[in-house]
This record gives sequence, structure tokens and C-alpha cells, in this order.
Amino acid sequence: MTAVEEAAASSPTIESAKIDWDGRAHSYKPGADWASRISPKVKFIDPGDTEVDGIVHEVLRYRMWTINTAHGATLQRISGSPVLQVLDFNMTILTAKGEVVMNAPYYQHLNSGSPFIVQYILEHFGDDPGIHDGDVFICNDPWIGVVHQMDVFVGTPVFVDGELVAWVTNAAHQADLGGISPGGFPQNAPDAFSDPTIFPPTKILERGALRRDVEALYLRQSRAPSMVAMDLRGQIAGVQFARGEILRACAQFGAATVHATMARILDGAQREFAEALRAIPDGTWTQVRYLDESLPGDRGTHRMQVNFHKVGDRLRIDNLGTEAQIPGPIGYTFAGFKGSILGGITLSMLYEQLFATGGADRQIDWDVQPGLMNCVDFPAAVSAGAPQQLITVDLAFEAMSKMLACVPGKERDVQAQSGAPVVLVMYGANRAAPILPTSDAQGVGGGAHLDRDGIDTTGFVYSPLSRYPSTERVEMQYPVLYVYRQQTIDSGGAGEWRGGVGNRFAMAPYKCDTMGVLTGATSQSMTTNSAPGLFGGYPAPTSEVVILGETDLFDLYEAGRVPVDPSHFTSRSQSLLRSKTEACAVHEKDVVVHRVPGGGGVGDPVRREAVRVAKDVADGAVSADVATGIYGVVLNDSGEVDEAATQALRERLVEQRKSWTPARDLWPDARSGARADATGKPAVRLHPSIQSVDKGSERVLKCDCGQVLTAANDNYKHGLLVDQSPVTVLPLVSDPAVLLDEPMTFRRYCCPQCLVLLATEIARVADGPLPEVLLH
Amino acid sequence: MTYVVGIDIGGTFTDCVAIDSDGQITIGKASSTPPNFDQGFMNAIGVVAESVGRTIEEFLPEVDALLHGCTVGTNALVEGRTSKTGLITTAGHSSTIFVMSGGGRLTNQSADYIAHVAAHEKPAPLVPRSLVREVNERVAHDGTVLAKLDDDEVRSVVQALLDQGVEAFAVSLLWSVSNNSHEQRIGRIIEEMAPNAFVSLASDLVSRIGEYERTVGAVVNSLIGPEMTSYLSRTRQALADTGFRHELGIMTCSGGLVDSLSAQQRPILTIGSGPVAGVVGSRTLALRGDTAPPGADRSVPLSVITADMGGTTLDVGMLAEAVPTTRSNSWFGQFEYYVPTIDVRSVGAGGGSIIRRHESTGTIRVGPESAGAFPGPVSFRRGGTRPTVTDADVVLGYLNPDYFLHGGIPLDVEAARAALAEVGEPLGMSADEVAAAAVRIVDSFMADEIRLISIHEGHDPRDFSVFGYGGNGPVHTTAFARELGVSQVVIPLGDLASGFSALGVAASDFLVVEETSAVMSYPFDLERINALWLRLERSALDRMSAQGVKASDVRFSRGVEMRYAQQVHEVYVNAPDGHYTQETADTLVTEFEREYARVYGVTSVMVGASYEINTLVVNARAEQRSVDISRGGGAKSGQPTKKGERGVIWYEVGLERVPTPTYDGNTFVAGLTVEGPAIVEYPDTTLVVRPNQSARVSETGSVVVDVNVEMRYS
Repeated sequence: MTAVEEAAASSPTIESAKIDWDGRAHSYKPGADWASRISPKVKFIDPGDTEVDGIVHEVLRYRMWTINTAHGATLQRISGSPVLQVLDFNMTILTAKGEVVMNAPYYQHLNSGSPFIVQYILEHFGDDPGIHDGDVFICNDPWIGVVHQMDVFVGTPVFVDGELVAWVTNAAHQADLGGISPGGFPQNAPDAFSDPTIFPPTKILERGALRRDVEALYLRQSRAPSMVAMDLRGQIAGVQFARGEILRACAQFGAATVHATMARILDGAQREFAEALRAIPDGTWTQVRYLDESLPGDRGTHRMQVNFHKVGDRLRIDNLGTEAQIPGPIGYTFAGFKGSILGGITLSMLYEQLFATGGADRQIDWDVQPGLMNCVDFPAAVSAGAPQQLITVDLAFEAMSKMLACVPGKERDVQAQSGAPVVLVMYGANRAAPILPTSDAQGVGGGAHLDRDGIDTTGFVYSPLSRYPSTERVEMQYPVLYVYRQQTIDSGGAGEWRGGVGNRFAMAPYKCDTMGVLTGATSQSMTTNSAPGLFGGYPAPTSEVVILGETDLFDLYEAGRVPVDPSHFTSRSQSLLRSKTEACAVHEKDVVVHRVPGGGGVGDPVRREAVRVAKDVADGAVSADVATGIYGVVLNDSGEVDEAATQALRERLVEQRKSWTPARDLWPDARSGARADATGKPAVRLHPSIQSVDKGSERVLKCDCGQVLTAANDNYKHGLLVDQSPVTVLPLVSDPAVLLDEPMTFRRYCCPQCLVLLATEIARVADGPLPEVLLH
Repeated sequence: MTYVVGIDIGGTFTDCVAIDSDGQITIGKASSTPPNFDQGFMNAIGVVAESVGRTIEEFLPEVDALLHGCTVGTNALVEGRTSKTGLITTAGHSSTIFVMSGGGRLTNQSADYIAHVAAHEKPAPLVPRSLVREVNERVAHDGTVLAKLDDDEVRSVVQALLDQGVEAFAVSLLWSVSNNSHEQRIGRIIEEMAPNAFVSLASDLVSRIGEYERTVGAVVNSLIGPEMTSYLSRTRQALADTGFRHELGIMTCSGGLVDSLSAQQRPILTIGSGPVAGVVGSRTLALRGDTAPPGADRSVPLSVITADMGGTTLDVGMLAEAVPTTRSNSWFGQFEYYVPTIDVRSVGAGGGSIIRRHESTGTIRVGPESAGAFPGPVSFRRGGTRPTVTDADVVLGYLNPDYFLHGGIPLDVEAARAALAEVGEPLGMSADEVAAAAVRIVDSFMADEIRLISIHEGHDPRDFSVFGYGGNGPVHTTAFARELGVSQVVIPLGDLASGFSALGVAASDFLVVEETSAVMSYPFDLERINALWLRLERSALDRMSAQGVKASDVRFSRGVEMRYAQQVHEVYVNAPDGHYTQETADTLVTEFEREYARVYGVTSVMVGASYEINTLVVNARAEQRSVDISRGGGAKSGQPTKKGERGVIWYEVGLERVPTPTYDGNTFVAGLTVEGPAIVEYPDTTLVVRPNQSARVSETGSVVVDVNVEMRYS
């Protein structure tokens, strides 16, 4: 094992007591005894031994889902803002002491810090300024509980007869809250003082009355005060609506019953999550992602790691292996870390509970080290680092998929990662609004599954309902033309099951002289790949943003021709935008060309049914070159599979793998000869093709073809053959050296006997095989 | 005697309603006969003819108007019996129909489906990629032609599609709402090259911003066009053969009728027309006054929530003071399309909703899976093995196992009981307990869903009456209305409740809706508005005249969709008639702010913000007859005669079976009253009057139930 793997596998529990998780220097992380500091002035409902009827449980469970959904509708209705129409929010019902009973089905990580804010308020505000019926609190402090400054929290306690029964909260994205860059994604912010203004928890309504002074203080920070004012009203109306509905339920069923039902929903979700965990073998799953460009111009790439230690029915999650925080908006606080990961777990495993995350949370130990990129300390820049949380939701979702792939009956819940998007914002003087955050990222492709392809242009996993806006809506509101807007060939990761494809567009200013463009990429989506492949599937290719300078677009139009590909334009210049571009001017006749990624593939591409590849080619999802080069499928002139030629080519492609290098030869420390004793226990699966089994006196990892790969306590990749190629062997991917100093490589691993591709990865050349799973 | 006849074809039954010149109603029912629905159509008329003592040949000449709601188009879509359709679209934008608005496609899916991300799928595309062709052309949002259409290219594209064997074309180009000349030109070329092909031009169907929804509309229209043409031709022929001389009116989802030739051109208008007809029927009754709550002013139109509950869905509509809520889009599965429609939302709860056990929480769950009509509930003995809501209803005693659909389907109570017991066994619950739990849960679920729908519309459901119809509506409405806090339930026309849509069809007027996208900011371009009103009204009048409606019979009403600049909510404002001046424009703005405040709340009104108009709408309606419904049989007072008695479990009072009288609904006449608990059995449905509720029969034979909100279950 490498040192990092060892650290991951046996990392001692980080001694949280030594760290002052106060919400100032470090993030707020309520200690085990936080509730002992709640002022006696705050009265909680005494549920006594209220018995909960199973039927009332069902009725209220669905009622709460409806309350959350209607809360979302209310917020949207009152605000009316275009920002919130893309559902960039979420709402949560919490217990009196701040456990999440249920989240709404919008951005799953967005309001997941609300337990912290509620607990912070309970811990600190009971005496002064007090917590009263009708109070509404606002907060956008990432060190306390929001995911970044732009996603503002609004929450209110629900009291019945002076006793606290529940909390209802929401968090929603704002158009602008100050800072050095309009829209709140300052790519060049070295620290939090350049970010949008931070508001720690503050009472904005006192016993039902709006505090005009606080509202004015809040709105004064914004470049778009009227829009933010409407959103604030929407958010306040939303929590007031939800509070009214909880009170209605209390009137109908009794507050004690409602309270006890919430507890039962949490218990049920906890039990269910614990059961799901128990079915997964004990082990450590490690997810590594590289994050590019801390500040515009940075040519480095920075390692982020999350380790999931599953023991029995508990999960311990740490961030060891992640590099220390650095200047620039590349990381996020603990609220972002926990929110993103819990969001990923929720989406993967808690769908039956309709996103009741509080129960699952009880089974998780958050064992984080502050000061690392994924748990930054004050005053790191975080607002523009928020997109990295999306990749964190994805990596958690993928980690769960790797675990569930080991559990019979859960195969259908396995999904490779969907494409990691680029935040692309356009500015300009125009007819309606100053900023166009292009929502084309809602056209990302979905990751593939164990038994079916990923969905083409499916939208965000972490916000299932996000709508890909129509071309006409955008063109009506902003001075732009979508020259073309199509699904992108080859943008899904190849595999036995293909990743869904993403979309692409060319956009030109229309009746507008100049616009500005900002990019904020996640992970390495602009340089090497936008989603890893799973179990031998290929990664999804990169995103790309290019500005074509002074094109002949309008001449082409004049001649009756519509360009549908970047190559159809003649342009004076071509500028490839970096992962972080603060502002880049786009003039009349310039064209912004953008490619939105697809999802990762699953399984060995040469095992994909050839007729599926033929259909992919006919549908424009896969090019003939990729069909041949990666899938090994030869098509005749009419697009049908040439069976004989395909078989021959596939055999040749597989045969070539024999020349790959044993991983043990490449990484000397992998040869240290780890050995595990036989356990006498049944076989345990850790990969769709690999099991841990006893063999004589040893416990080993064995490919389903019979080949013994490694000792059971080793990284299975050490027992495979590996090929290291430039990432440019992936379709659509350009040489990352243009943007990065760090040499990167694309590795494919196959079984030395059956030669089936079992894993792929993109890593720093300097990093050994990335840790994936080590069974305990 | 002359008659107006309404016929509604559903998946299972074809309902026929004849209203004679005295307002007397006769109803008939026959099995639907897919895929040749015209047989069931004629059979149902035959049943009514027989009831009035005529043969069908004697009866039809006395029919003034034959008005028809049909599911032929819907069925063709659902069953995939569609025509091979080619789609022609703007170069660079042919993915639109495959992208399906990304996650927007999930908007009307169930909570459970939305939450299970890894299980999401996109349905097979409506048109395979090989039949989607691009043409070089581009129009900007302001109607400017940036790239001109090339006829030669169009010809080669059309030829290529014809060579692939397409029978129908859909043409949908970007910004055809601002300038439809390219779509029109392509339409003419197709007509030249393939005069018999069915063609849908998106901008002809709906002129609204949003290329995806427009394209789906055009494609769906073409997919079902040839099937609808063939069905309507056959039906017209069959009617002509039996002596019917008048025009056939077809119900649309807009809430009115069109003639059968218009329906052939725009079959998309027929999708969803069945549930809409129920709303139109409710409108007629809501204006009639006889179901007004005690003490209320009968001349004030009733505000109504319609609850049409069948085997798989509960269809919900809203009428504020008898005016139905409308919307501009509709769904076919995950496909969204534009169509001017009365707003009817489907909730996934019906008699077929499956009851299951949730292992880890140890609770009973209901739905969203449905056994539908096949295999159906366990008690149907059609192969269903998982208990459903109908099974629970029969076990609780709500349904008479020997009198379900006239006794047409004998219900196997023991099989239902065994299936329920099996679900409950690991939880220590008996069949009765599972049944009571499941019905309580589904009733509460329906109340929650209706509440959510009313919140979206800015209404408080407590201000409404609920009209319960459809086979299962009268069984459950009295329970879920109470959960909603609604004080009154109406079973419209009593025995007609299960075929209520047919009455709605018979009560409909000819209606044409014309819309145009017209984006403008305040101060509005009055000249343009006036020109557009004229254009829309002329076009509506043309469509009316083409159907044989006299110009003097046509009444126009106007509407404008407006919003605040920089905000997204559009509000439909009733717009004044006549020539527009600055004063009229200001009236519009005042109306807009009033409606905005009503729907979105007073705090949402943006003082000082500017206004925008997005869409102008003209409704052209021809009231050719007024249908006054009444029921014969005179009036009585007191209680009806009991039919029998059985033990029924009322979950709000306990699990003991309460001896409950049953009544034959066919014996009900105006003025009679019934105290709950009681079961009223009709041939096609069952009214469940719960304990402490009371019911009275109104002048139209409708049963009005005082729900007794105080008895809400807790």
C-alpha cells in the first residue's frame, strides 16, 4: 500500500476535541454536548411517551413532502425571480433540536447546513437575542452552515403553546450580495474579504415583524437590491407558509404526535440506512479528485480526497489525503463538505425515505481535519469554490454506487458519475437582466449503470428537476443567439454501458456590442475529464469553452447556411478559456463555443453489444472512429455491424492488452508482498468482477475468471496489467499541458488472465494507482 | 322531441347522455370496443335509443347535435398505434425533442420517482432520430430572417423522408412564433410533393414561445392525425348510414367543441378532452344553483374542485365561481407540449393503487404503482395478486361485491381479504386493519395533493365544494374532502356521476382558441395590439365559419398574459373588447396587478416595476343552444327506502363493523335526505356517506353531502 492508502485505511479518528469548531476560525461543528448550552428559556415540547400510529406516520410523512414542495412553490411564486426559476434552492423540515426530518427534492446539498445554523442559534441565542414564536433568522455564513455566501438561509422555529416543536428552513441562491465580482462567483478572490458579504445568523423578523433596519443592512450589500428584496420576501413567505402547515398538522394530530412522528421518521430512516450499510462489506472506499486552478492563471492541480470507512452499520468519513487550503476560491467549509456528501448519500440511498437525511446522519461520523481544501478555515475565499461541492456530491454518489455494487439486489442503484459542469456566466447590457448564467449545464449527460446506459442530456443528479431552458426563452430575455444547440457526439464515457451524452452550443451576441464571459470549472472538467469511468468504463471527456473571434457567422447566414459545428466558422482568433476566467470580452461577430460534458461509462467498452454501438453511431451519440477505436466495432456502409470484422478487431484490441505492464512492476511499493490470512468466511464481492475469497491459508482478491489478483487487504489494481496513455486518447480531450504544469495520465487496468478491463483512472503521473476500495 | 346527445368514450366504457328539449336526461352505457371505437359508440347510442323506446334509426333523425369526446388519439399514443412521422426543424437545433428540457421532463412525475435518481429513464423518443431532418434557416426572436430557407433543400429533405416511408410530417422551426413564413413555405412544398400526407405546422397549432413544447405538440398531432382521420371518417359514415344528418361535434381539451374536420386537423385537441368534459359539466351544474350550500345565494356561481377518480388516477380541476382554471401546456408522460387546455391535473391514486408493506418502517404504503384495469384489483379475479384500494374498499364494506358495475364484475371479497392479510401479517395487522390503514392513507394523500394544486393556483380549498365523480370518486370524496377542510361534496347528477364527462360533452359550446406570442414592454404598442386582436379574431372567425358556425353566433373574449419586467410569473388577465387606447392599456395594468396580488400575494406586487405582455389570446365561443338540465320524478321529502344493510368499517370511529343501511341510488328524487353512515349504490358507482355526514338530493338529482369538517380524522 502507498502511504496515502495506509493513512486512508487505518486513519485514526481525528481528535475533534482539540479543535475549537466555533464557527469563526474553524467551521461550526456542534460538539457532543452542544445541547447542554441551550438556554433554559427555550422550552422544548415534552413528547412524553406519545405513541405513534403507523398510519399517522404515513399520513404525516407524505404531508411533510407536500409541505416542502409547496414551500418551494410559495418561495418561487412570491419572488418571481428568474434566479429561482431554475430551482436553485432547497427547503428542510427539522426537529426542535435541528435534525433533518425531510428535504425537498431540489438541490440536495444546498440547505444541508441548516442543522448547523439551527443548532448554532439554539446554542447561542436562547438568552440574547432570544428565540421566540414568529422569529425568522437569516444567515449566509459558510463557517456556520451555508454552502457558500450566495445561498442564503432563512429559517423559523415552530412553537405550539410556547414550546418548540420543529424548525422550517430554506436556502436559496441570490442574484448578487456584493464582493468584487457581480453575481457572487469572484474567480480571483484571494480570500473571504473579496467574496460577497457574510451575515452570521441574524434575526430579520422579530415575533412576526420584519426588522426594517436588518433588511436595509442586507439589501445595501447587493448590486441587485430589488431582485434580492423579492427573493428575501419569497424566502420569508416560504418558511412562514411551511410553519403554518406544520401548525395545521399540530392542530389536527396534536403537537406531541407530530413531534413523535418526526422522531419515528428519523428512527425509521436511521434503521433503514443502518440496514443498508450492514449489507455492504466492511471496508474503506477512497475517492480522489484533482481540482485545477486555485486562482486564474494557476497551472497547478490540487488533490482532494474523501475516505468512507464502512464498519458494521456505521460510516466514518474523513478528508485525509486532501491538500492544505491555499489562496483562491477552490475549496469549501465543513458545511459544504458535509452537505455535499450527505446530499450524494441521500440521492443514492435515501430515495425511499423521500430525502429524510437526519436518520442517516446519525449513522455517520464526520471525522474531518480543518485547514484542508475541503474543510477550509476562515478567511479562505469560498464563494466561487462552490462548484467544487457539486463534484463532491457526485463523488459521494459514486462512492455509494461502488458500495452498492457489492450488494445483491441493489445493482439498479449503481450509477457512474454524471458530467461535472462548468459555471458559465455572461454579462452584458441588455433588455432584461444584467447577468445571464447560462443554464446549459442542465444538459449534462448521466453516468451509466450496471445494466443500462446513462441518460443523454439528463440534467443534474443533485437537482433532479432542474430544467434545461428553451432557446427561445433565453433569446427573448438576453441579447444572444444560440447558433446551434445539439447533443455532443462522443461526450459520454465509453463502456459496456455508455455514459449519457451532454450538449454543446455556439452562442453569439445579437444586437449587442459587447458581453463578458466568466468561467468556473469543477474538478478537472476543462483539462482531463469531467467524470470518471466505473468498473472499467471510460471517463467522460472534458468540457470546453472557446471564443471564436470575429467570425463569419452573419455572412454564413446571409448565404443561407447555419453553422452547426465550430469548424464551420471562419474566425480571426480562437481563445480557449481556462477553468477560471474572471472576465473575458465577447464582441459582435464573436462566438462562444461551449461543450457540456456527458457521464462516465461502466464496464469494458469492447464488451458492449455491437448492435448498440451501431445504434449509437446512427443516433449521433458515438462517432465511427470511436466505434472502431474504443468499442472495436466495424460498421459497413449502411451502418450495420460487420460481425466478422468486429470480432477480429475486438480480439486484436484485447490481445494488445497482454503487452500492458503488471502494476506491481510499475509501482515498487506494490510488490511489498502483502498477505492476508484466510478467514473461513464466505466470498465477499467488492467489484462486479472481483471477490474476496479464501484460497488455502490465504484470503485473496480473485477475478471472476479465476485469476488471483492480490492479497485481500491490498488495492486490487496492484494485481492487474496497466496501460498508461496520454489523456488525449480519450475522444474530444485536448492536451492538458496547455493549461496545466502537472503531467496527467490515463490508466487502464485489465485482468492478466481474462484481459477484461476492470478499472480506469486519470491521475497525476506522480501518484501511484489511486486507492479505491480496501476491504477490512 | 329533439335531443342533444353527448358521448364520451373511455378506456373501459362508452357513456352516452341524451338531453331532450325539456331538459330531461337519459343515459346509456356500453363497453368500449378498442381499437374500433366506432362500434362502442354506436352501441351506446343504441342503449339510449332503446331507453326512450326507439330504434337507433328512429332516434338519430331526432338528434339535433351529436357531441363526442373521444380517446382514440390518446389510446393510439399510449398503445403506440401511431403514424410514421418525420420531423423537419431548424439546422443546429434537432436535439430539442430528445433533450426533453433535461430534468424539466420530470416535472409532473410522482415524488417517489423523482427521488429515485438512479432509476430515472428517458422514454423512447416520439420520433426516431433517423426521421428528424434539419433545414438551413434561421429567424431571430424579433422575426428577422437571418438565414433564408432554400426550397431545393426543403424538397430534398421532404423526399428523403418520403423515401423512408413517412405518412405524416411535423414542421417546427425556431421562432416561427415571430415569423412563420418558413414553416408555411415548407408546408406548401410538402403539400405539392405529398398531397395525401398529414402535416402539422407547429405555429399553426400554437403560437407560443418555447420551441420544445411547440415541437412536441406538432409531432404528437401528426402521430395521431391519420388514426383520428380514419376513425372519424368511419364514424361519420356509420352515422350517415343510420340516418344522422347533422354535423358531429368533437370535444376538445380547451373545454369546447370543434367540428369533426377540425378535429382531424388538430387531433391533439382531443387528448385529455374526457377529464376536461367533466369540468365543463361541473361548470354547468355550478351555474345551476341547486347545489349551493344551505343559506347561500343561489345566483352566485359555485366554486368547485372536481375530483374524477378512476382506476389509476384522480383527475383534479378547479373552477373559481364556475370559471375553470386554464393552462397553456399539457403532458403526455414525460413529454410536455403546448395546447390551450382546461387545467386538469392527474394525481397517482385510484382504485388500482397497490397496497404494500414497507419493511423497515413497518408501515403500510399505498401506490404510486397501480394495477390499473389489468391485472386490476385482486377481487376482480383477472390475475391481480397485489391488493389495491378497491380491494380495501370492498373489504371495508363500502362496495357491494354483488353489485359492482351492475354486477358486471362480481368481486371476490375473500381473495381481497387474503391478499390484504398477507400484506399485514408480518406487521401483526389483520386484513381489516390493513384495509382501513390503506384507505386512510390514500384519502389523506389525495387531500394533500389537491391542497398542493390549490396552493399553486392561489386558492384556499376551504372556499370550494368538491364534485366527486368517476367510478371511485363518490367512494372516497366524502373522506378526503373532510381532510381538505371542504364542507360540501356534490355527487353530480347522482347516477350519472360515473359517466359525468358525457354530460359535459353535451353541455359544451363550439369553441376556438387563438393565441399569439406578442412580447412588448410598457408603454405598449397600441397599434400592434389592435392589429393583433383583429388578426386573431379574424382567424378564429375563419375557423368557426369553416365549421358552419354563423358569424352572428360567435362571441369573442380576450385575454392577455402579462408579467413584471425581470420577473417570470405570467398572469392571465381578462382583457377588454374593442379598440385599445392608452386608457385601455392602463386598465390592463390595473387588472394585472389585482390578479398578481390575488395569485401571488399582496407582498409580491412590485411597486415601480415595469410590465410586459407576452401572449394575446382570443376565445371564440358559439352558444348555439342552452342546455337546462333537470331530472324527472318530482320532489319528495323524508328518507328514501332502505335497500339493505351491511357491516361497514368507518376508520374515523374504529375498526368495529357498524351496521349501515344501503340505498338504491336510482330511487333517489329531489328533496330526499339521508343521514350517515349510509351507502348509496348506483349501477356504476357507490356513494359513501360517512358517520355524522348528511346528504340531500337536489333538483338535478345531484346528491349534496354535508361533510362535517369537525369529524376530521386525527
